[in-house]
Amino acid sequence: MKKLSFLAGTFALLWIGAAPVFALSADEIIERMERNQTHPTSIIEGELVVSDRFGDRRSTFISHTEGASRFLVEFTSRDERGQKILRHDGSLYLYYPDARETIRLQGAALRDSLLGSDISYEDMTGGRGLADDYRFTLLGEERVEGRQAYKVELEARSTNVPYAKQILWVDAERFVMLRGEQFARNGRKLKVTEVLETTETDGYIFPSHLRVTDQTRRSSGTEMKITSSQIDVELPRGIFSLEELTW
Amino acid sequence: MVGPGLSRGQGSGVRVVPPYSVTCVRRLLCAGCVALLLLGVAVRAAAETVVESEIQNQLIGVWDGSDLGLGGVAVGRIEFRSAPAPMVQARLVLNTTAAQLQSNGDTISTAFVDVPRASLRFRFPLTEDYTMRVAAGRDRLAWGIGSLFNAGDLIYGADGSGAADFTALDDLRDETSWLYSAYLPIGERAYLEPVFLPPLPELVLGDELAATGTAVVPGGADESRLGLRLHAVMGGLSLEPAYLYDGNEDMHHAAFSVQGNLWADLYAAARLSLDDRIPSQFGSVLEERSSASLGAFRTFRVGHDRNLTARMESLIRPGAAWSDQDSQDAEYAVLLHPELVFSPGRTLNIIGRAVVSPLDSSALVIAGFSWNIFTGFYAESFAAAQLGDNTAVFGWDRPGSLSMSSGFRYRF
Repeated sequence: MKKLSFLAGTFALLWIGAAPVFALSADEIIERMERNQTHPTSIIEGELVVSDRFGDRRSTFISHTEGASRFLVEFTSRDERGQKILRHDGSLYLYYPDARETIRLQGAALRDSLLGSDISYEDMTGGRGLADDYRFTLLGEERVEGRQAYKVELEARSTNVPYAKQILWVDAERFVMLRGEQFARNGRKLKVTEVLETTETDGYIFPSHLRVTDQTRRSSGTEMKITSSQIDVELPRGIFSLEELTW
Repeated sequence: MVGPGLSRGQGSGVRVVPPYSVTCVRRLLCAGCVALLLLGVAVRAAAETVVESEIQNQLIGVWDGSDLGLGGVAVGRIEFRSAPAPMVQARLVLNTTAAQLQSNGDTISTAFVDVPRASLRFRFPLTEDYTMRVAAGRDRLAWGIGSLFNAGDLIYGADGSGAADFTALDDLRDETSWLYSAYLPIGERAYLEPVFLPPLPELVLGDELAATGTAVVPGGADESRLGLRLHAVMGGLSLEPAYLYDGNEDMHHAAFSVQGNLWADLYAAARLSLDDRIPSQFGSVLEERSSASLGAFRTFRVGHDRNLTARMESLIRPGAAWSDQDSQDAEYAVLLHPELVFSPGRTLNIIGRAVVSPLDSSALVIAGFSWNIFTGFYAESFAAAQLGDNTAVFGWDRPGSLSMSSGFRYRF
């Protein structure tokens, strides 16, 4: 009797401990994934490589972020040196040092391609959760690159998004994206996003090397690599101001 | 300073010192160390300065009404920027245009050098918590909002079509001036910017040069320009009131610019110029001395990764002519600037632009492409045509009404 009670109790404990994993909804999975990618503050250096049949175009950048709504990225590579992007709450500003000109982007312009890459200004600077644009459906679990992952379908709420449908594979243990596929309204696969490396800094796990491949053009794609990251650091005062943007 | 082996001693004689005395060697070693230290500092400083160069080679064709003229031109640009630093920045840009001309069978090589930018900027902490910024030298201040027409631009003028580079991918206007300005932040998204523009010195030639003996005469202080703008973002709108006094014209200019977004990026500016005369009829002053610009800009996605960017701007000058004046030099009340940029891929931009004078049914039309083939390397080709009759602002019949340029540009 004692042994049976013990076994029952152990089983119940294991079941209760495991219950949250099985009971996670698609919304919760995406929310946990986005939480991993949203840092209180961060300083990240990286590079963007845009490839086509003529070769690679490499751009390097350094970014400062605060939460999901403030972001300053400065390009440090030769062709774009001094160009900056500032996200301040709901507005996005571009600064071109040659013309000393600041452009404020709003609305659909936020989805414009960054430096001709497969990444948009909004992708780069965040500030808008996937839940604002998509409905989520959990399709099940699969193994991706040797890791158990949730497979989540994202269906666009409106036509104001670049992809009518996406499928994301989210690591079931670490809640970081492992793979993504983006589709047009007619079901044609447009892009494939592969996370080649992840990094963990201060408890946050996020992609540090990802590749976006254009399925409609051969030899065409974008890679983004993070070369250094510091999370939860003190940022310079006034870093997210127009003054800093135009310095 | 005397070298080793020779030194001045007391009295009138010269005392010969053995060349390799201990003192001498110590001095040499010291000098060597200092030299090495200075060299190390200089090399490090030089290594931190950012130097960028660009060469553009163009084949230019111009129709003179009966024949097509061809010529080649090379434009070089060297830019020096100080290393990134939190308190001081410096920038120097040299442009040189090289061409060969012929005169009476002789070939003449010419080069034109321009310094479009030579500026310093520095931050200055006024208090522990407040830092202002100062800029001095030849640089650009982009007041107001607008690509070609910008009534809020009190420094360079509302109509930029005279100085615009219609083959530029992004910035049509790039005028610069010698100026001194301050940047006074107000919170994170607003600032006050006073500016002082000294008068340009006058170049004196001919008889006046002979009379004065001075080739360059400074402009009078009363010919200076002094202004101020406030930029703020409120409720989704960018707002910018501005004021400039032009001592050369003895004129006060005021402008107000606004930018927002409603399906498209929308912007507008209005400007009023007044002198010290008390107007008898304010209405007529408003008509004669005011101007306004309107603009709309939007990017459309064509397919999943092709973009079409459309822009339309207009310049309205109520005091100018509202009907056809049958004059090439007429100033009309309405000018339009439509622009379409189609990007079928990441690196190719197909551009169509125009300056349209609807009141005399004439236009300047520019079309071309810019193709970023490799990193820093572009192939570009543009053609421009003036469309209109012989009495219009733009006319087909005049020399230079049809032109083209093709070439390559490399930034390294």
